[in-house]
Amino acid sequence: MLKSNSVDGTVGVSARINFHSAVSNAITDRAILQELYGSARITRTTNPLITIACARYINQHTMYVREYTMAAKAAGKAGKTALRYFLGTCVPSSKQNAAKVRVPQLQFNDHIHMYFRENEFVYAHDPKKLCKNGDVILIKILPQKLTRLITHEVVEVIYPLGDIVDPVTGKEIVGFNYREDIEETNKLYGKKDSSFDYSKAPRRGRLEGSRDFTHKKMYLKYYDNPDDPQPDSVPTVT
Amino acid sequence: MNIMLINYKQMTRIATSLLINGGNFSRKYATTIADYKITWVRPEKVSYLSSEKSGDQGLEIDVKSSDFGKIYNELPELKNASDIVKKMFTLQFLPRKETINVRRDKILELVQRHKLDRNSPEATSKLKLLYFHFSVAIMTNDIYQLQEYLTEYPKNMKMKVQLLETIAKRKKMLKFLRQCDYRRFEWILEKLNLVYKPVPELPHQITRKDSLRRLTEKHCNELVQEKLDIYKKELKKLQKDFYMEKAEKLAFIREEEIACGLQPSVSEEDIAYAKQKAREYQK
Repeated sequence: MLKSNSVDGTVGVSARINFHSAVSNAITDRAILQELYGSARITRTTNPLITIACARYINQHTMYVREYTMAAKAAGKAGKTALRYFLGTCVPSSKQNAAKVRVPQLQFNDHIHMYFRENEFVYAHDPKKLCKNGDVILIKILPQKLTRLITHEVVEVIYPLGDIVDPVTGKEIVGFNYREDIEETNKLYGKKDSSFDYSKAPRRGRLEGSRDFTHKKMYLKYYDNPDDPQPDSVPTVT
Repeated sequence: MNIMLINYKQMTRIATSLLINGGNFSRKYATTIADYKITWVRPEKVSYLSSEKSGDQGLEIDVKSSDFGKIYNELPELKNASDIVKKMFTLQFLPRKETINVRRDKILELVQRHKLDRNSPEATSKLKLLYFHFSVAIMTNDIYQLQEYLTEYPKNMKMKVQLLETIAKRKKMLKFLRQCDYRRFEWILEKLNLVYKPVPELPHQITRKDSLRRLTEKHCNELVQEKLDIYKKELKKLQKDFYMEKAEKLAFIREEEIACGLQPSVSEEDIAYAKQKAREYQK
């Protein structure tokens, strides 16, 4: 079972995972982070994507932690049961109205005296289909189980996949570069009509099922039957 | 004589036992897959040249043999030259490499940001870091030309390996691009007419035993579903009479309650609804 970080319902252990896999000083200011998480362990990674993602998590989290601790405290005073929130990544789900969420946790090993990452998979009720595969979402434990499997509920998409925002400046980025800078260089060189335009680009997910099959869990084609074409299968792996 | 007698006795014993237990020669209580008519056919190996392997759906790029080579295209000297000289500099008489280069430029034009955008393009930042000058578009061109070459010379193993490596590399780039910039990833799939399927989980080998297990499970699920469907149909049939009865009983309860001077717990709407349902099912 998932354990929440504290009884009065702050964001769960999952949030702390992200701090663990945190942050280089390349883009984000280390001092700011240490101020935010004096006790949190900040390790260096050379991967800027992780850096940015983590930094954003952390920024968001401070907000969420504050909000929800306040909410939980208020609830505690009124004598109600506290809510529990978790952060997780959306993975392909076979349910129609529920998202499958991977919630990482740090489990302490008494023998080695070390924390190890362990993943827990839960189903979160999502009738409005807020989240898509790969998004980092905030989920909440339902007061009552909806079904045998669906125990949680999607609250909000915190970090949509493929649209990364730099937490320090608040600008959108691609890889190492700001999108603004890319646009500007294109203009200087003479932008072509063929180039990609973010303002005109439609929302993610229009190619699902036709070109982009990442919304489903793929499997290797394991038998041949002309009556059963097995649309979710991959013929070979290169 | 004695031996014959003993032999005879043994024979009779065997014969009687056969007659009694004749039906139990084979263990009928144990069933095998053959009894359920589950047949497994190993999927055919996909050719390394097929579109399923690479994900390319074909690009229509017109490169004619009468076109000039890349560097001779805007040469002032060629404009006034005779037809024979001009013909010498067309793709027909130039090495194959020239045709590939011309086509590469045309594919690049589909995704270029600006005129001088050559090696940056719509690829990934991660691999750009390592000074990979390939981009998704360039790789697509490479894949096309390698496929073309290998259909002619299928025994060239070096080229085959190169093709497979390029396909894998492009797939990896697309994976990174999806993580960095989802909308651009979708755009590039459309522009270059590609299909992206994620790599399935391990193991990547197909075994007879595992496949048969999965097929058996599938068969069992189908059986269960069939039975459930039949049961549902039965229940649906009963609904006609049920709603008739329900309407009558609700009306009776309402009358009784009114007669006893109580506030009726059944509204007339409920009765009307039940009647309407009954009428629907009668049709």
